Amino acid sequence: MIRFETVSKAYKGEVVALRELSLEIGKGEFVFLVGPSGSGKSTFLKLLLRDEVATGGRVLVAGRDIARLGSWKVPQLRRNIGCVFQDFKLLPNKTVYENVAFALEVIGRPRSIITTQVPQILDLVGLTPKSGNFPAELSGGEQQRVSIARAFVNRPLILLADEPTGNLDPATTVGIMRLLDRINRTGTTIVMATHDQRIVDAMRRRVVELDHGSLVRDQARGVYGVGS
Amino acid sequence: MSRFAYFFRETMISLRRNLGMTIAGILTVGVSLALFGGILLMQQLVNHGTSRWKDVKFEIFMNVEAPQPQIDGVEQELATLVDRGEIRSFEFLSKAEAYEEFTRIFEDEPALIESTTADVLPTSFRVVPAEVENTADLARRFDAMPGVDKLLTAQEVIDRIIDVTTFVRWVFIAMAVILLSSSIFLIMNTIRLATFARRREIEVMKLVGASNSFVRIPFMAEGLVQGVIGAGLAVGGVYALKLVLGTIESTDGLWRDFYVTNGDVTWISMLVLLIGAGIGVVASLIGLFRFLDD
Repeated sequence: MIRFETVSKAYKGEVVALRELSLEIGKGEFVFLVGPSGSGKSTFLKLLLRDEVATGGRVLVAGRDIARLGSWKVPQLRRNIGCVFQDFKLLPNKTVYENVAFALEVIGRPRSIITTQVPQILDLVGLTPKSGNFPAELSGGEQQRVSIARAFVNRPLILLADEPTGNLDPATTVGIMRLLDRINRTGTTIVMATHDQRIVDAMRRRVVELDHGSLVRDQARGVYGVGS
Repeated sequence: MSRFAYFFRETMISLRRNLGMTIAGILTVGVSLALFGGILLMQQLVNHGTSRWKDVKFEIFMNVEAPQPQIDGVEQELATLVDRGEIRSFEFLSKAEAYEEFTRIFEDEPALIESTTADVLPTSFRVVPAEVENTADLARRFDAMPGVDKLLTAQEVIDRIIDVTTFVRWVFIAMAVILLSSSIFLIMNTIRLATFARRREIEVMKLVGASNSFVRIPFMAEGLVQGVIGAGLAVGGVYALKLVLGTIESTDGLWRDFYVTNGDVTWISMLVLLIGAGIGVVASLIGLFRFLDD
């Protein structure tokens, strides 16, 4: 599903964010991306979205070298990759329902599909009673659920999560992880960058550790830190 | 259908959000296009006014008692010039024809017609030069020929009118160009404010894979709306000018031939609307390419 072939990324000013990284992630996998700040986790996710382009090597998604996609095909790539962020990125002037529906509206989905899929996904994330509320009226955990609903409503093949629990308390975090686990079991590949040691240790999934842009560990059913 | 509803809704929200800038953009487009339309309309007025002079550029009047050989001489010279391509055509007016025209012009004054006979009127040649610019040179050539009494050119009158209108036209065009470019900057700026105000929406749209056109269309529609409304105001201005000119039309005398038709107003209005729409779209495209990097 995702394949990095000796990928390097250097930013202007010769800051090297990724160093000859090679990695393969299969369909339906759940991968934790760990490492200290500045280790290259965010760059890894940005390359997958083609928010950035690799300066060396190739990034393949579903067998296609995404650096060679024309700029008009990038939207097509992103429709297949859902995204969840630490700061949720919800639109404050839209209700929960409208925030989720917006993701389908702007890719030109017909109204009939929107009116069936949005309630379904809100039911999945457990927010049907709050569909008329605005983001400011929700708790952090609820806002992140909306954000996950928006990322998943178009049934992407891949879901990227960048510190999705970074702003949440432990109890809420467990709920979000359960939800991501459920989504993973529908066959969706999940890549989650995190600093949260407890959830990595508790979930026992594949762990990929980066340090200064290099792959230092790739372990099935791993834990957060080697020594912990 | 839902897509058009979406674009319509987003465009309206954005226009309302930057109401001050929107109005400024509309007004500058309006004023500059009103000037432009006004220039075109005045141009039509002058064209109609001078068109009846266009055909005959000068007239050679013979002495009343000029003998036939002298008349033949002038005619021969004219024929030669026609052969050499310097004169497009000429027309001889006999005494009888001159009298006929005389009675037509002075039909309100029967006493004058009564006391005049064809004999006292001069014969003349009406000449159309091939090149308008050569009128004065050609005229001078005939001035010295035997039997020629005097030459009359319409050129001087036309020249003066054209001189004045050309000057006024350039002043107006300069103003219109300055205003049009400032309206482009204003619309660009409105679009920049709009993209800034909606940067979160735009970020989410790009994230979930909205196509570039889907992101841009509401902004282009916003520019288009501003341009077209501004052009609409300008069309109103052109109609108003036409009404003012209509009052001149009805008065008699020198201005009798200066008029504009509804047809003129229609095509000028179409052109103004087209330019307004074009300015709106072009300005928002420039704004988008500058402020909405991919």
